[in-house]
Amino acid sequence: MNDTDNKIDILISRHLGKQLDRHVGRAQRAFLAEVSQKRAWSIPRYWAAAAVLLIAATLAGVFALKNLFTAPTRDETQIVGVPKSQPQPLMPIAQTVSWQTMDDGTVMMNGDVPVRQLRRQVVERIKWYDPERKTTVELHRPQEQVMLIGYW
Amino acid sequence: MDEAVEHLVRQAQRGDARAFSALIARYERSVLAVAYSAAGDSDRAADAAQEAFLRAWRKLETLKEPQCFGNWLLGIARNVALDAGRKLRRQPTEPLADQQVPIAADPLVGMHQREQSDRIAAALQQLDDLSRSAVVLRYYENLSSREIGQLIGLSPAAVDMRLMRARQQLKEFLGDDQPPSNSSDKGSVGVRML
Repeated sequence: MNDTDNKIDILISRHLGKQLDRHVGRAQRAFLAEVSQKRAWSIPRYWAAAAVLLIAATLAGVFALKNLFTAPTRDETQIVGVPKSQPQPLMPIAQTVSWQTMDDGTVMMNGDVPVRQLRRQVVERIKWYDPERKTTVELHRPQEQVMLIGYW
Repeated sequence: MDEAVEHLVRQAQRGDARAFSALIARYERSVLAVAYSAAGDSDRAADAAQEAFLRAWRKLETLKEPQCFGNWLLGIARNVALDAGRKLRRQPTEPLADQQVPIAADPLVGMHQREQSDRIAAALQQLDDLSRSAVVLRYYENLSSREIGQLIGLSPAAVDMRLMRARQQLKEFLGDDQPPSNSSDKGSVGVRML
């Protein structure tokens, strides 16, 4: 290799370095940007999935609790919601609610706090007709609410 | 390809972005070199290199032989650069002025540097594709003939032969264009030429 060859080598090396060195690192940055973008997309997806699962679990819990506590009354309402398998369902005739409020006057709460006591008595009546037995079925559901009104 | 690279490729194939990032650091200059030899322009080469790495990352699981990663990657880079070149020919654009010359430099020096750069780029374009790749990998990456041969699919002897012929062609094309004895950034480079 002579002196001219060396000069050509230097010339080309310098030229390529000048042209390409300024671009070194660009691919790395582009790749990291793409990867982080994908991560940024995937994190909300995980959170969204977690939120959906949480909501589903909450709803399931609420329904389970509701069923647990409303189980005794369900028997009463099942009379209205007759299964389809029954050929002749009960026919609701009437549903009435009557109430009266009684003022018991002033009573002592815990022995030393004077409060006014009101009693509200409610009777709910539901009537059905049973076509199979040709009879009328009537349900009475009495309730009493006691209200204490105090002045402080 | 050394075992470390093969290991990195296998890790990257399992979705390890850090391993692929290390592969980018290892191959970026080679990819730039090959893309430049195919595109003939440094900005297009950088675009192609960036695109080649992203494509390689997305398709990495299709690579059956991790030991061939370098060759595979450079093939992608070459294809991307050639595609970009074809698109450019269909939609010709006017390149912006080169931003390389420092503002404070002598305008004559800047002009000479620009001319010299254009002449070298034109000289490189006279070479065939494989020889140009070999030249750019040798002069930019300083790779051995064996390494160049592995990357572009030639024997070391064939690489040497191509490099020798390419140097001869470049010498003829560039004529008496001499490199400066001091740094080209200092500003005394090309006055002699003008």
